[in-house]
Amino acid sequence: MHEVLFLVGKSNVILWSDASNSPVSLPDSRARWEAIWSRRDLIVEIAHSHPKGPLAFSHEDGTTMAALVTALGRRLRFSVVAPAGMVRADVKAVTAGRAPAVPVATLVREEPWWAPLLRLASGMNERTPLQEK
Amino acid sequence: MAILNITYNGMSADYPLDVDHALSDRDIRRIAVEVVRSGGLRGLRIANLSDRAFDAYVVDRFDTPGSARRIYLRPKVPFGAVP
Repeated sequence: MHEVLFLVGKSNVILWSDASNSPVSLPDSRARWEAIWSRRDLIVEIAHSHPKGPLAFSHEDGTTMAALVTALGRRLRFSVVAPAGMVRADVKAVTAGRAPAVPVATLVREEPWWAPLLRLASGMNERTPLQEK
Repeated sequence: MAILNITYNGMSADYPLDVDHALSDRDIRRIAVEVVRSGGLRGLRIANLSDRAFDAYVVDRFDTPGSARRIYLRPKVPFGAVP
């Protein structure tokens, strides 16, 4: 298994993707930044997988999300796809250089068509039911 | 001589650095804060920019034969289930 990232545009079009060799990390990459910058006017959402969970944004995710909206100067949607489901967060751009707090993620009830593809590309099995409390 | 490229708030611009010694990543971040605060980049002046505005940025350096060293200050882009 490995983590996979999708840049997603309008109408849920996948604009670009890359992958790591690890199920728990997607290391920094200048190529990824260049892909984001060159498609900055097209990107609606940046999604990545957590093949081994958790169904949540990590601290690393949160600081990267803050850095990206700071650099791009606009709101972006981020998501994590895990075996048990998918979560999303909308992160606002900052002014005066103050990084935003990592927002609370919301569970996605109706997943986009590419979520199962992201699981498949990450080496996950089919979605496992989320245990309701 | 080096060219520092800074990407911030949807803009990406070059700033000439007249230095003849190696700069650490920390130096680059500090210089970038002062450049943006002072309006050294066209169209990008934020007087009250935080000292830590570029803490989550990384520095890429490229040497091009026959021209100035290029230094890029860009946001980090790692993701992952664990740091």
